[in-house]
Amino acid sequence: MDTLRYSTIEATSSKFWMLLGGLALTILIGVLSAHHMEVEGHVISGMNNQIVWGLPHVFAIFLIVAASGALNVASIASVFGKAEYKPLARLSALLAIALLAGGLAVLVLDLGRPDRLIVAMTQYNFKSIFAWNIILYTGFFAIVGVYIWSMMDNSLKKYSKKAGLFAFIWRLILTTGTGSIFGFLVARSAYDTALLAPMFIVMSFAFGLAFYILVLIASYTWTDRPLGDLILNKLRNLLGIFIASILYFVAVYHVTNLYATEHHAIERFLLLDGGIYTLLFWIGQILIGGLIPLALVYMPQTKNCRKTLMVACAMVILGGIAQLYVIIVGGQAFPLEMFPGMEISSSFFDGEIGQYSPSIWEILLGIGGVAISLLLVTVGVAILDFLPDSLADNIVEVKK
Amino acid sequence: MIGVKGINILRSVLIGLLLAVISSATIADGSKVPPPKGAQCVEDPVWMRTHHFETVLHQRDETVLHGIRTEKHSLKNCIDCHITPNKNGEYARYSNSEEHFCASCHTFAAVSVDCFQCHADRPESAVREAIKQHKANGANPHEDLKTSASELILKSSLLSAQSK
Amino acid sequence: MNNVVTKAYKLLRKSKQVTDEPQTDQSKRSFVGGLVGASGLAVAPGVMLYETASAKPADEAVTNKIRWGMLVNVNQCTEDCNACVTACNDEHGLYPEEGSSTDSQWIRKLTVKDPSTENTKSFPVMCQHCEDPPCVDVCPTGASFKREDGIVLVNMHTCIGCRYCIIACPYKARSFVHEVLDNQLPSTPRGKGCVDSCNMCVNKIDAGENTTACAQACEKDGHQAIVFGDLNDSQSEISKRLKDFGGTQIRADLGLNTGVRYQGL
Repeated sequence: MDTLRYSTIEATSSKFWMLLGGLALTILIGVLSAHHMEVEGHVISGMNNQIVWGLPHVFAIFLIVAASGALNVASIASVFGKAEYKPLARLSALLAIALLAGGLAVLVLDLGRPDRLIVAMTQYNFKSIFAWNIILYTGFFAIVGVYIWSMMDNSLKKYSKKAGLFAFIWRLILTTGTGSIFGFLVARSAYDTALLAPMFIVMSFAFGLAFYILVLIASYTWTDRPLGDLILNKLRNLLGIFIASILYFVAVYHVTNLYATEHHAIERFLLLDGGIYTLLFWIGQILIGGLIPLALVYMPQTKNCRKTLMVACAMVILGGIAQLYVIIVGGQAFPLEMFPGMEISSSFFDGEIGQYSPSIWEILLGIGGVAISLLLVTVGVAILDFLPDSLADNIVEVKK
Repeated sequence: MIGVKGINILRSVLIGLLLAVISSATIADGSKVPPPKGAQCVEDPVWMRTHHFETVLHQRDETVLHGIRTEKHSLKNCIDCHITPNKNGEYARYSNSEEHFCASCHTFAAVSVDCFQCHADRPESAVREAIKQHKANGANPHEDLKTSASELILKSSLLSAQSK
Repeated sequence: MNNVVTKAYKLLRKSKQVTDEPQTDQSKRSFVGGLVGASGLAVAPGVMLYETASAKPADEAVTNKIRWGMLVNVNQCTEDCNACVTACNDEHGLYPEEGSSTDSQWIRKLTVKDPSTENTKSFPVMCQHCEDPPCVDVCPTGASFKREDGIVLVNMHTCIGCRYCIIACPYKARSFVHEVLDNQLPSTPRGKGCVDSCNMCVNKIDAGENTTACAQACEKDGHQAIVFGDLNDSQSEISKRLKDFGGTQIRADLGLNTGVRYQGL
């Protein structure tokens, strides 16, 4: 490789300050929305006793899953020894921390009693996978922080491989934990499967990478730094593999369920007559989130086209949000099967499909969370040397 | 533009105001609170002022987790004794009145507690009466005085500003 | 000094004409004591279905010697009767508005119809007080817990309102308080941002009444479809009925060993 240099971006242009200001304003609006929900109670949100986790949780879990996957690029360099990815590692770790912070902020702000966060951080029920997630998330910050430090500080460079390995294992456990939040639940027909944990892992690969590519292209275009096709094509191929993996897991999940008569009701709901959930599954998750970006990535005509790559990444992100909406909200909307085969009804909406339409407060909170992540990345690259001066082909290419 | 003399006058006026504010804020005014039912509290008042929160925090775990309900350290009994109606037979509420026993001190000390977000701040008979009246009016008993949370918080912060 | 104060306080409480505590403890205990002999006989209409387990002293911790449970006789339950629901709402200060998707419902009447036979059953469903509750497993702070005597509760001092337990409950037993509440009853504190569910009238149990509002109301109404008692006591009414007539769990395949059983399901 030709000499690789890192530097901060020039944080003086009006574009930079406008970006920062816009993100800060979005965050402020999100926080105010959350505050309004806390003061008035969740009755002003679209959530109810049938669907207790709504759009904020979709955003939060999406960001948390993407966070774990964003670290992948760094892992490929440190853990799997692919030298071409080494220049990308620092930004990958920064993005991982930023996405996790945004996701956790949304999750915490939506709590019924966010003023009791200190209780959540000091009292743990160790049988709860949710409690383990809290530990894993906070540990993630520390571990990736150390990893970044080992990459940036020349005196610690020899530890970066070990730190990278530790971070890699930690995030595999973390994402397994996130998937298990749903996988461990026996009550709901859409959950209660060990498959959700590995599915979340491959989801994290795709969502994290899609986010990473978008942030990479944006930051290099806006700072006029060279970004070569060599590295982008490598990332493009990787994205294709990850999208295909998600489609595989989704296929296995549904085909297995379809084989068992006891699961036919939930499958019918998700795949056929679930209304919004069926639409989001086929068009959002499979088409926009899977098949179209797959085509865009592998078509020979689009090989070096950055615009198509960016569109593919945006679609993967949208498809990911749709997928999480189907899992989280759709999974709750389908009534509990307390008496399989029977028609049940009650004043508590037993036997009925749960009704949910997101309120403006939840939308603003979710978007605010994304803005937190983007703000942290923007500030990060301006303060510390996360971005290489150039990612042109001659810099990236490993001379054999 | 103001001049040295003017600044001195301004300074003395400000000091005067400050002294007036401080002097009015030296003692919590419990005079508006209706007297409690019993002759004496279960504990010494000085001990209570210093320790009641520790008792509350410890006792609540004993009660909730282990079902230990002592008569002496029972929040219900504290309320039954300390919260009494005023001359008009009305019960003060914690969230919007300095006539409430707990609020009279808490608003002065500016220590907000969230106990009464869940716990009743007046005896059961008063609550049941309020519920009866709401139901007779066809209103949901959860909405007292049709006050939203933000109004309640605004009122209590205005009150604590007033009491200083 | 403290002792004098305590004694004075106790004297004052006893001498007060009006107290806000239900004065039923003493009367119930002597009544129940008289029934100890009668409970060995077959249950006849009008016989109180109260527990003969001795009430624990209020200032002692509960133990697992007792496991509280309920048996609902679906055959005695009629579709148009809501006595248990009304009683529960009155006891705990719940005012769920009809059609509201956000108001708390601790107990509800479930109607189950077999589409192939058109057979319809109606019966109350509430927190099943499982021995192995999923809601307790998933709570991140441990606010959702099982008391030693088997009652599954939410410790609202530590509940952060994450609602994970609501998703985890196989019986849809839990509710989230979506708005600011007022006029909560002193014996059932509950508030915005926390999760609540049927607490087996823990306030009545700890006061020594050893029954639940729903069981009381059903009995008063004449249906006698709900029996409350100590599952660990083989001589209790509920244990005897379970032995004679059996009692199924809803979603028994989950292996949760619920404290609420159903006869005739």
